Amino acid sequence: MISTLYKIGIISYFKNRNSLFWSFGFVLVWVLIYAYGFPAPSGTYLKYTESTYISFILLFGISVSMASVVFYTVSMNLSIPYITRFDRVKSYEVSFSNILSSLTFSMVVGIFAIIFSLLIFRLRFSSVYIKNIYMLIFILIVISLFFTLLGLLFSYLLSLLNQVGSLKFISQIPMILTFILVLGLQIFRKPGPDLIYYSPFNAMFTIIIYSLTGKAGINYYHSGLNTNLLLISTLIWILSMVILVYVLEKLYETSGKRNQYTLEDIFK
Amino acid sequence: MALIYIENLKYSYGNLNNSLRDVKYELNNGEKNIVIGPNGSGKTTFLKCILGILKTEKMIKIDNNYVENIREYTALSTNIKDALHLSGDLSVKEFIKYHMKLKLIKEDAAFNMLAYFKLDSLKNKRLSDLSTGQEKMVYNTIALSGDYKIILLDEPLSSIDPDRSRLLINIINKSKNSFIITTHDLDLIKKIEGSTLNIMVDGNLSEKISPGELIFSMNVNTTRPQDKFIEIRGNDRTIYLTYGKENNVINNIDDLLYLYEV
Repeated sequence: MISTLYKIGIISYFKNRNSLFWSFGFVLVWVLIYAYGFPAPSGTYLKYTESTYISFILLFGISVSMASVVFYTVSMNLSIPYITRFDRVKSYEVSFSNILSSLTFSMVVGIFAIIFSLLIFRLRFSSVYIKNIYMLIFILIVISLFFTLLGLLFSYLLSLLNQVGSLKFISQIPMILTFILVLGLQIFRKPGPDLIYYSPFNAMFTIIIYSLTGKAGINYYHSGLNTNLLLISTLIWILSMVILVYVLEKLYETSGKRNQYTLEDIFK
Repeated sequence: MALIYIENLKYSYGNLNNSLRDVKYELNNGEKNIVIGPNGSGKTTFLKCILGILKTEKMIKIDNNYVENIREYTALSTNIKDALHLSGDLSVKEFIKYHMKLKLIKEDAAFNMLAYFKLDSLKNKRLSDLSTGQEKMVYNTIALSGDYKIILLDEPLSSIDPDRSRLLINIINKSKNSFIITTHDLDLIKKIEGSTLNIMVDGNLSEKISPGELIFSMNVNTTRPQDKFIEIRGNDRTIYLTYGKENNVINNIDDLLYLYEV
């Protein structure tokens, strides 16, 4: 049943008009704004500035697409008790296929973000920089997994607490956190560089820049961050979220007060 | 042995008073049971508890197994949207196909049913683009397309036009399956052949009666009569349905409004 549930998830993400607008549309708009809305940086700043833009777009694009994951998972949570009792579906098949379809969707958004921004920036700035393509592919997978798990975490919390009225706001939290932490460090240089090792958002952002420029730092003038530590920190976060999602899923299954909402509550 | 056996079912939403109060219920093989009651009386909550969407513990048995322990029991189906929801972005064709796949049933039966209901033209439309009545008919189609032992239908005729209502009632009458059907529609009670009836008010379920006993020769009053027929407890009062001395006939929904005002 995993393939059937996976196909349902994939169709839902790629046919949902809101989902497509907020993920691919978001990337499209911001690439064009960065390329044509700001003056072209010159000389030595170009490589780093372009890489910073691509890093923003990749991270933000995937974080925005997680709103779709939250909506889809919260609505599917209603039907899980039925399909696992009265269809030939096991609960691990639902979880696994949901993670796979969310991961696929966010990776496609990420690949689109990278390819489209490289294409437009090449046209605009006549330059394309990828220092380490394997690291870039790896970090794309890591980012997709991180935001998929974050989306699932919020979904189970909302379903457990029957707070689907907060869905529209909660689904934006991954994007809001990304904006505040990543932009905060870039624009205001605060919080300081040590935060990067603790904040998965900043760690992932720095690793993208490293894979594009070969430098791991807060900005062009700063370098010397330990990329291995950044990766380890991100993977520890992901492992913690896997455990937390598993615990919340079990709590959801046993909770006496689950599903005290309807589909109308979700989509009003 | 009853197909569905419920004892002392209680359920409440959050901090609200009990939505279901000590419900006792049995559904037998081949029985077509209709549950009527006013809005908010707990009919849909009752069905959702049977389906396991709302959690209960050791209160409901289906085919001699507690509902919380049931797995892969494909002999039951329903038309309840919250149970069947996969995605509003699927087309009708995809929605039906995937539901049949999840039950490992051939999809032809469902598409034949869709054609029977004259809904072939909806196949390529998105679920979220359907009207309320069209969406309801798609869910009814899924519920009725298969050789199920038990079918739970929540307001199957709401927002449905008379022609399709007639077709739906035909299917139910010809079927040998067991049904629980919730409705406001008194006409449905008259048209489902051989059915039994329960009345739900404020989370209380009455004992089982036949539709004829409700519709014909019935008085509705709040003082306990000598010849008690059926007692229905609401929040603040109790209503008694008895045979009327002058053979009052309950022939339309207005006669039951007194009941609905509880």
